[in-house]
Amino acid sequence: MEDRRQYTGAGLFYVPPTARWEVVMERARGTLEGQSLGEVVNDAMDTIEKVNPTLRGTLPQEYNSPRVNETTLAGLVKLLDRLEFQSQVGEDGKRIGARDLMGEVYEYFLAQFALAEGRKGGEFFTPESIVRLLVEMLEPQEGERVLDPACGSGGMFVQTEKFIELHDGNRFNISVYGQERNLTTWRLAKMNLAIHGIEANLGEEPADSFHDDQHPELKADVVLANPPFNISNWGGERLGMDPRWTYGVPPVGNANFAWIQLMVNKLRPGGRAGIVLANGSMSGKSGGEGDIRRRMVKDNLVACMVALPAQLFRSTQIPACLWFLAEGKDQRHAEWVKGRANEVLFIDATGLGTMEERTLRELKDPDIEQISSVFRAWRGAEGAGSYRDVPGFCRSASLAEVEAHDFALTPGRYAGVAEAPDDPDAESAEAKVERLTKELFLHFEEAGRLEAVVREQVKRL
Amino acid sequence: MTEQRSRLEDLCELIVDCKNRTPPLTRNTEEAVGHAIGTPDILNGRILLNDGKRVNQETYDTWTQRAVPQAGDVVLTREAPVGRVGLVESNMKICLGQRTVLLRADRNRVNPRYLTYLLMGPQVQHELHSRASGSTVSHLRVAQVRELPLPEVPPLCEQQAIAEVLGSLDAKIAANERIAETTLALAEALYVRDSANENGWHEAALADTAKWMSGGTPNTSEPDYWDGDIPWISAASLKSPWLDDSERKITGLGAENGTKLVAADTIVFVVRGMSLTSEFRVGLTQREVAFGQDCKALVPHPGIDSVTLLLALRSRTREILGLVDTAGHGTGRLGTDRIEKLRVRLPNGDAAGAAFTETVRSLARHASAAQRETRTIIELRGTLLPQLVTGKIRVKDAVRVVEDVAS
Repeated sequence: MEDRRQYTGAGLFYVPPTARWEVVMERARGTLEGQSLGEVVNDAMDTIEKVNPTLRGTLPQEYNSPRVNETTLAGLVKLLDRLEFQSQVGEDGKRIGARDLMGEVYEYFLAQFALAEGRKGGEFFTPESIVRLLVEMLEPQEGERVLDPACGSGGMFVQTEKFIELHDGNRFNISVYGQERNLTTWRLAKMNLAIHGIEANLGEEPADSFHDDQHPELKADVVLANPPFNISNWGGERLGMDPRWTYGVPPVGNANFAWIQLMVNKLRPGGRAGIVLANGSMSGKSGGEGDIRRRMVKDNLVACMVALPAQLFRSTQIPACLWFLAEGKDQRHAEWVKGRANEVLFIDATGLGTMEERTLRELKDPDIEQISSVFRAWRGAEGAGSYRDVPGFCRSASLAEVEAHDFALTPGRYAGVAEAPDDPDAESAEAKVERLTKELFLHFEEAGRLEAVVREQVKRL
Repeated sequence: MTEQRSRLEDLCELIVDCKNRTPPLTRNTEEAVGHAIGTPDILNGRILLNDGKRVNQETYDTWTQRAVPQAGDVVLTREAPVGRVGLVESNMKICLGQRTVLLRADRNRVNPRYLTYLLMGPQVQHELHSRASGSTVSHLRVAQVRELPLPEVPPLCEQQAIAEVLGSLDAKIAANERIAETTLALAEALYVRDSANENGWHEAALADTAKWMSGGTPNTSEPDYWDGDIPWISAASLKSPWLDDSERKITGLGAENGTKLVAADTIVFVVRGMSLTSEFRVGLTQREVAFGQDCKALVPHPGIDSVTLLLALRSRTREILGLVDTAGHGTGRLGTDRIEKLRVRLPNGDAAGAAFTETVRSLARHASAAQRETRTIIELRGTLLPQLVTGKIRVKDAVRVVEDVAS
């Protein structure tokens, strides 16, 4: 396919003939005279950027510098040539043939990068299992507008696209909007999305969502984000009373409720949002946070709260939770959670997940399924079955009950404690008393004997 | 006397390093065949299996490829911290966790138990720590362990005598710990059994059972307040249910400034801190103590027995942990408004109730006495060990035996 329009239509990016792999390979093999390999690669990058506006300013062009060893570069090119990157898209927009290998390789490197960067890695990398859980709960549909105002490297969009494809939707038929403050991360996101063939609007430039909204006109169907936790340097003092603070001015010292309200503000009527936040957001009251939370609950905005298990993040040990918000849940336009006005679903998932490493836990497929299926049942999704409270795991509480808890949204308070499993082999209270009594008398005898031994031994000194 | 110092490897048949990898956790569904012993499981010459990580057969086999630990082997820690020692007892099936070394004594030259005490003695500990190095944490290389210089060891029969004396104290300590554990478990089982009765028991909100008090910390930069003889209980020192001691103590003056004193028979529990995310620490004071602001104290109202109330709380640990909130940065917080609503079951003030109370009180007294006795034995052992392994105190009859052999 040499027609450029064929590519752009399918959400792929077009590589002009002079920038193709064969040209680079020829130079690496040494059959092409003239330019150095570094120059060839730089030119290719430049050409690709020129014909693909979405990639503008993202590709590195530093291959022709003394810091890059030409022989090593040639070796790398030859090594890459042995791999087959194929992504084929059929007429209907779905993948056929080989898997999206390049996308997976890029994701792999992003993950490794996050790992190597440790703490700092948090900025552009949310653990995949959390992103998947968010997406499984929000279920973005074909044709919807999706916004992530703190998009990092764009992981939310990649999962969104995967979700739609998995559910037989046309993955190219969604509109993706993102915003990211950090230049390097913004570039990573552009590249990530380009490689996955996702057309996205990440704004004109890297910018701060609070102070320089890149999508001022946007009202999205789905807003989702994993904003940085508990940040104090977000410039809240410069905003003061902003029209976005519908539920109250967030404290300058903590941006959690600024993020929530910013996202709510971006929802179309009846839209839905999912946010990853630190646990403090569920019950903290400092700086007026308690009042904001109260107004949000009373306004029927909060649909579901999920307490996550600890140690899911590599970059921080702070336990986190998920907020799910439904605009107009009081049935003005609440198709998403029909019949659940004046109720909040609390899910205590702190007991789920599997330790993958000594300090890192992961939510597995059955965990994600367990959480999202309960939510689907609760909100009356088609074919999801009927909802039931499960002590220790989930509970649908009325607003009056939430009020009785002083608007603290910690799921553990509502879900209660799991009933102890009925173990047929469990010892009865009577048998236990009898066993322990016998045991204790044996210990007494032994202790008496040992007492005599100690007396004897100490006498020897 | 000629200074003929031997090295550790001269006294050992075998010195084997651990696998230096963390053994994988056994999943609930798998059968555990033994324990992996890490540095926290080794303390004062003993290996503690309680918290040891359970391993399955495959892990056990892999982690014992180099040597299977057997009774009489000694485990030494090389790092985090350096120099802890534990003797493998005959009923243990263990493999080595990270940062440990397995030593097998050459029994023709050294008694294994004596070797344990020798390694714990001041000279060897000094050698160990002076050799340990490292930029962030200090650690010992295996070669350094092999070449560790040891003081001259006495004849085997004298080693055995020393091992017997100190070993008898260790055995008594272990027996007392088992008594304290079993006594408490029995009292709890009694409570669970009897409180299930419809008759003779009633329910009350925890708020109505006692006078509630909050604690505090005397100014820590005021030396006159600290290092007295009044235990100051905080989450860190609330590890046993019988509260009669703590690492930090305050003076009478400290008690008057910024904290609260409570008499014996008061319940103290943790309401703030990291520990609340996994355990509910609660105990009963055995003497007058002060306590910090991370704890609450309950002075039971007349007619309400403190031990019974303690058992009532302990039997509800799971529910209480369910009431814990996470404060900023992950620490746990148990709100008074929430725990005071907890309904507890208490015996009526009739003869049957009095009999129950008397039984559990006697068990509590016994557990607490065992704990006090243990503390004395530990102190005695700590005093004797350096004296014995340096030969400053000698075991008389053993000396006689040695002299008999020599003559």
